[in-house]
Amino acid sequence: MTAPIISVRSLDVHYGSVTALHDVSFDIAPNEITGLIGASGSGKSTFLRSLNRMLDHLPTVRMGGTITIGGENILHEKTDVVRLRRRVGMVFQNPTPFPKSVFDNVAYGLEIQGIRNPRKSFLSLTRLRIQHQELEASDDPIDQAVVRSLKEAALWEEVKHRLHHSAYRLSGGQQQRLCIARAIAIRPDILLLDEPCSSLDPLSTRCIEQLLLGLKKDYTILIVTHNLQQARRIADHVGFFHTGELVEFGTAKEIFGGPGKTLTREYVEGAFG
Amino acid sequence: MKRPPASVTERIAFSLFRLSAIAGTAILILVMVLLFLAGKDALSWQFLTAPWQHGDITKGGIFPAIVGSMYLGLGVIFISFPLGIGTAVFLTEYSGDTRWRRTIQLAIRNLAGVPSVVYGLFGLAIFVHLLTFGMSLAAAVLTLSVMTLPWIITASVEALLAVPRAFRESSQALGATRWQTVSRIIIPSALPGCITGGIIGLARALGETAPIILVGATFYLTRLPTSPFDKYMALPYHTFILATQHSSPSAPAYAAGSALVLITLTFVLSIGAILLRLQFRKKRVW
Repeated sequence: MTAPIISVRSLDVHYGSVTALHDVSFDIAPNEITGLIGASGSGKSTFLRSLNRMLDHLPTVRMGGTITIGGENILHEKTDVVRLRRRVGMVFQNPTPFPKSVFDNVAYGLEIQGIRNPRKSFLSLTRLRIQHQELEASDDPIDQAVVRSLKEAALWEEVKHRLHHSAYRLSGGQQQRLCIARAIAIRPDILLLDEPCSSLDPLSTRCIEQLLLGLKKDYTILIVTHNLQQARRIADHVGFFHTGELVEFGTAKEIFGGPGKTLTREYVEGAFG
Repeated sequence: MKRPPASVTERIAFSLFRLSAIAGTAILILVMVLLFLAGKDALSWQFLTAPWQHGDITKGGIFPAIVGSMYLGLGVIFISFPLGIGTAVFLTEYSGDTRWRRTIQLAIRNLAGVPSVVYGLFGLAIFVHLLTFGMSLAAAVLTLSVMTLPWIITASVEALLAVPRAFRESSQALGATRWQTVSRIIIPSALPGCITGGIIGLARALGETAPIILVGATFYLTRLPTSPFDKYMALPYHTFILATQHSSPSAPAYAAGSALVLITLTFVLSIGAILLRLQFRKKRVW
């Protein structure tokens, strides 16, 4: 295994008096897709959200152990959370585009870093019509990032004629790819996906899976999924969580071929879940 | 006794609902029509643009009262709208402890029910005397702003709380600070609701009579206010005097005419806000 990009050691997460994660330790290799599987409430989403400190917003949460990303313990209280989240992007279960145009959605992550959006109208009250040829030829950093991200997210061809439309006029699958484009526009190292396909139809799901397989050459991807077939199709490594503990972690072949632990075998064979 | 079939109950219920809807609308239309009939003789270009003549009111117009009310309306918008949204943002986004927030919110809701004359007395004590603004436009604008604040805050808090949590999370997950999330995502999404609160507050402020009598509204001025510390005329007070205190035979028609102008002015000031709200709403689909 190449040098890990994420190292988790003895991670504990408590919500008030409830233990959500207990003593989780493992390494994640760069440029791989790591699938996190397990029943509802097993702690996999909690684990994912601890990687970009999204749990900070819950008032009763307590965390212990270390998570090292790029040589830095991100659970340290002095960690710059804003900077961390620019390196660790996230896509949520339901598509969550902002009530803005397609273009402005993708540009948002760069705008908040202080880069001026060249396509912004006065008070955002009117929508400027954006020509895609002009955009592709532009050397403005936001224009370039939007075009690149939409192309990487396999959405460009579908939206290039309606970049100024509200993001809500896209289909569910397109909205989710827009959220992926929005996340990769700021070029994070790591992309976290929390059941990104659970509200999508099989065709859109397939589209996103293909997209993720293409993205892993540039990003390290962690995906929480209830869909075991999905984990089998796209993941390089798989971690199985159960009642707050990481029961088993191994290559997809090991986990789905002949897992070492009885609990894992029962879960992947569908005995519970 | 046998119950009537469901379809009959439904028809009766719907008829009652329809009846109340018609009654509500009819009363409103009736008021407008009667007001128009009573005031139509007074309405003329001179009525709208000439200065007030105390001796023979038919020689003058209500221009100073229109200007005075316009100043009041604009003043209230510029003071209480930003202040109200600011308070609401603080309450929903920054004051973490929810019990503290609920107590304040409850207090603010109760303030919305305080009679307007009490705000008048408050304005008289604080703005006129303590801050020595005197009986003036400034004191009246501040008094009416304080009075409309609870409405704007309450409407804005509701609007801010209705913004989906997913927007906040998505913004923060992209590395936005709390302020960036609030200023770029949450406030723009909530703005239509906040503007609704502003429109209601504005309409109420424009129509108030009791508080402005206490803080400097005047029935007869020979010139327009030139500074915020001047006295002023205002349409509701003008209407009130004409309808109850004036001896001229044309006073009732002038009172109705002034009331019509007041309604129109309220509508004109609101329509700007309504158009702005439409513009923001167009983009807001979730």
